[in-house]
Amino acid sequence: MGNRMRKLMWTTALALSLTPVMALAQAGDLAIVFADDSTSDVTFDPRVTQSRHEEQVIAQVFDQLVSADADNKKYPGLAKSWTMAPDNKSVVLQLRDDVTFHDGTKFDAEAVKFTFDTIVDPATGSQGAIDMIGPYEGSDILGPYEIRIRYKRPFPTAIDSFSENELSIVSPTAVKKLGGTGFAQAPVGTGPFKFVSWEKNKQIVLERNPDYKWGAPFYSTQGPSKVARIIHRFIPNAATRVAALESGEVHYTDLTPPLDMRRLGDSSKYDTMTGVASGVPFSLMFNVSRGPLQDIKVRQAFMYAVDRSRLSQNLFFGYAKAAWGPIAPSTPAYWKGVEEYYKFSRETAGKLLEEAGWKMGSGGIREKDGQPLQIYYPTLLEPETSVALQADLKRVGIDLKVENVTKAKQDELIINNQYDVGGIRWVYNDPSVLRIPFDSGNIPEPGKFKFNWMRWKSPELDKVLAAASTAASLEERTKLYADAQKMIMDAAVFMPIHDQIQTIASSKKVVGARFAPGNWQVRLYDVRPAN
Amino acid sequence: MRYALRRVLGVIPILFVTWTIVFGVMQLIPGDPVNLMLAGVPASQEVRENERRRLGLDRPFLERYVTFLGRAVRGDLGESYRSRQPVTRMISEQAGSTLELAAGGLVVGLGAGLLLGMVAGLKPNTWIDTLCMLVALAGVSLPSFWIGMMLIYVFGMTLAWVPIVGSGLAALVLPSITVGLFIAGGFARLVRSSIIDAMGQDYIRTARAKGLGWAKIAFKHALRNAMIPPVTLLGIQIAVLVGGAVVTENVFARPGLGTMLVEAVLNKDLPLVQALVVYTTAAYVLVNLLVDLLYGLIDPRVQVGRA
Amino acid sequence: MTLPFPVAAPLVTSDLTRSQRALRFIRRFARHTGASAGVAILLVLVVCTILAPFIAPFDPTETDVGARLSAPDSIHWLGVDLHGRDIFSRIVWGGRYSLAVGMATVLLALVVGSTIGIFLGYRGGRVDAIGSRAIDVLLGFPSVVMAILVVAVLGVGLVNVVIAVAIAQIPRFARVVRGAVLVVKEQLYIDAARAIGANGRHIMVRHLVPNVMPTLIVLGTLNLGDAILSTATLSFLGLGAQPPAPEWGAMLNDGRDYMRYAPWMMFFPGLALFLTVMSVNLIGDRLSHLLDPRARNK
Repeated sequence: MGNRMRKLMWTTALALSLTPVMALAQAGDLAIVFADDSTSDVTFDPRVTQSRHEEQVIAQVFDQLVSADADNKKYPGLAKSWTMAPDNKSVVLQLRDDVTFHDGTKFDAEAVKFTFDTIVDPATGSQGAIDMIGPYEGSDILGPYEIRIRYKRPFPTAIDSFSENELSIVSPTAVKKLGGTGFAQAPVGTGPFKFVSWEKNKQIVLERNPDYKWGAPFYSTQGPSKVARIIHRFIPNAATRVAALESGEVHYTDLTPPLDMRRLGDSSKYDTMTGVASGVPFSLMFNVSRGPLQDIKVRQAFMYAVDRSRLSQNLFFGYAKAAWGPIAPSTPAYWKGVEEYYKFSRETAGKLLEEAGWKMGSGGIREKDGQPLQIYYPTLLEPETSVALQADLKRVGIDLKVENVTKAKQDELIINNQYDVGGIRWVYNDPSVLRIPFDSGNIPEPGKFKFNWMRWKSPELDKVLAAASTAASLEERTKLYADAQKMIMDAAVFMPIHDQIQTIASSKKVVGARFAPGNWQVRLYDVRPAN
Repeated sequence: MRYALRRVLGVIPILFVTWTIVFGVMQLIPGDPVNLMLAGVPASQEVRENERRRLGLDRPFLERYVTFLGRAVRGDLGESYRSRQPVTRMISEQAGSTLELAAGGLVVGLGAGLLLGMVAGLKPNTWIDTLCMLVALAGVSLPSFWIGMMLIYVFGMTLAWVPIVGSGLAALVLPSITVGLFIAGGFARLVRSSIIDAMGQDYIRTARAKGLGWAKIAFKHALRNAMIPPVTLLGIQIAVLVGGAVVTENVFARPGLGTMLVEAVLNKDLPLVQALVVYTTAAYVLVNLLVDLLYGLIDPRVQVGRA
Repeated sequence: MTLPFPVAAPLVTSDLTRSQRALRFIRRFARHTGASAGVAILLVLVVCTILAPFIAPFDPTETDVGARLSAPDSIHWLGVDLHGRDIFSRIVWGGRYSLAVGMATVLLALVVGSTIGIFLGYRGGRVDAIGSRAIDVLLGFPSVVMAILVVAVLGVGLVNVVIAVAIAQIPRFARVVRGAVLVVKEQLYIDAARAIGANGRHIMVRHLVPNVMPTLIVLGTLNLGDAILSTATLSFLGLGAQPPAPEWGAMLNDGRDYMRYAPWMMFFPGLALFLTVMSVNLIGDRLSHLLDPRARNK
């Protein structure tokens, strides 16, 4: 290797490693580095994605018809106003006429129709948007900036759906030019940042959209963002993310470990923010079709036996709270009544087990007809929570058999009904998610993976959930979902453990990041130097 | 030349068999690729069926095998189930990072191994020899994930001498040491025994008798002839390097082929696994061919092609 | 580790009695300080493992949340983990996993591998040519990756990890044994035996197996270190031992996220693992010196 060549390599390497640090130094041209806990991002096409990590980037590059703030309040977005038909089967939207995509294409009713039509086209292979878009039938273009969206059945939450990242409006020109796979790698939207480059598993670079002037009214920034560039860096190890924050290599870390949150929050150099994610908390589903858990008393005892408040405190150091219902408090239509169910009581647990005929055996594990009270829990998520559960349950004589499994193995066990307990968690900004684990039609069967791992058939609950999804008014919908939550808790088939939290730590040099609805993605448009 | 050509062509049946075995083994892995791809998100049944059709997984096993093979023969290794990108491109995007790590590991490993082996070999059966061999043995006994974590803790976190993330040369130092230590151990032992062998040869004795300088003998004569067995080991090391990359990339949160392979296997991403295995196997065979040809350069007595 | 191995010649050379020979061997073995240290460490480990219930001051799975993540002190000699479990007790109990799993792995690989090797070497011809080729290709496949592939098929768990790592090691035994068989086969006394009229199986049992034995012992010991490391690696990646089992690799994985707050969670299990593997390798190293005729002369 020639001397000059070697020198060049050194310089390049040095420059590469210093890029983020140097960017920090130039205050006038603010560049921020966001450290994300993922390496497996594959698409940034909002119509296709199903990943909350991919949505972190999508949220910066795209806009939605309706803007929602972290509290789920709705504001005009790409649509200035909207009118829902009385039968809840169509919506007419008046669109902004001053918006252009990053590639220069004008945003109009055609773009909206194109986006929605391609979402339901099987060739797109939509994994998330297709379930968000509701019973979409078609769109009628009423004028260049006026459109009617039609549904096959009443869809009272249409306006909410318009604010989801998955229903972001894409540039039709770019999709046609790049094709589906090309667009996934170089997405074009109308958002505050343009997608510049993607080094796989390393980083993504976004650049300020200088023409941006259609931000939602709740931002303090109006016009182009104060941030010139966003470097979205993939760092899948939590300790490494925090170390990078402390060495000044990054400004924001997501999924920050609770211990670090506490330490960084106490210091004068960092800010922290914690979001309770909407959707299904980390929970266990009890398989009611086999073994000891067929007995409701055993299921209730299981829930009484675990001190969920202490468990969350121990594992998350106060950042995540115990969860009590099938949807998190930050989800629309949350029913507060769940908080009265199955509060920790080792005595009640013991009493219920005695009543169910499980007597204390030698070795501290209960027995009935010579069989030990053993419950098999193949663990995929949160192995440390399994250990804590194991310890609490052992104190009342339940032997929780934990086995760490791969996703593939878990699927196989679920399909073949070879488990007693399964753990899940989902970030989802709507109670309609309840149909996926609770619908009787969603019980897994050979060859068909589905999500009713409780294998619990309740025609009454099916009826309530179906009615809720087609409810004509929001009041009725909220009431029906409250009924559903009560029925689920009464049946003791589902054990919420703790809220899912998104923990963001950031350098005090910058301010203005805010959660998107659902409390998971962070919007960086409003970020500015702290002065 | 003809020999090299024959060896290169000989790779083809090996690749075909490996490819077929991987196809078969991947069918045995439990789990539904569609479901693994959806990574446990609450997607509806319609989404699942649509994906299954799109990936052609609704077709019978044999039909898929034949279609796959037909494409592979034409040089198209297919698209990843999960990312929908051509696997060849995905691999070429990640190869750089792993090659960097492999190169770094080799530099550290060969450097340290050569040093330890030479010092030990030139002073056999002294305390220096014992010490060097103990260090070499420690190299192969250290759990690489442990030493990686310790390096991060000491030099990255506590002393903050090197960046923990980032892509510069500085960020390559700790991972290279982690990979290199293992290589150094095996290499040092071979270099040592080769040197001892070589020093005992007649021509070295002659050179000594002629009064040539000790250093000159060591470097010019002994080392050159002692390099043959270690170079063989080098060919085998490519497997060690890829294996080391899996663990090291995991510990240092580095992107690369090792991480990619583990994820692809766990996600049952068949086209990606097959492509990765095909490339690894091809690389192994080719590196060993190169090693064979290197013999000729190091030691003219070895005539390649007669073996 | 795949070091090319010279084939050992039969040790039966003098007319000493068996016990005299054994004694001489032990004496020569112990002359090496490193090897003796290895034996000492391994002995301590084995004793700890057997007497774990008496040595460990705490139940290795008993949680005590009040004490969690606390640093080493006079009660918890090596500190406490996230769930408040005593790390010293867990390490003492954990030795059982490493030793048992390592030995099971090597035994499995040794039996299957040498069977294949003997078969190929003795049979010769086309079967041997194809088999050897396959072994070469398998050797080129990274063993960690191979083990992960096998675990993906069989499922997560310690037993499957044993099978997976054994499969990755089989080609090493097969290749070396095949080579040894080839050499022995060439030796005259086999021809002599054949001339007397012994059948094929007889020749194998009477002559090949004892001749290959020294090589197998060396290779087995050297692979034991590798097996302990590989199984721990898989547990580290979450594919092996299951909670709350105090397996060392799994303990290291637990400690990873708490490196900053409780470095003892990763330091001590790793040290235990290192010392174990090092002692096994020291012994293997010495054995190969004594049993390898080429090295013996030096």
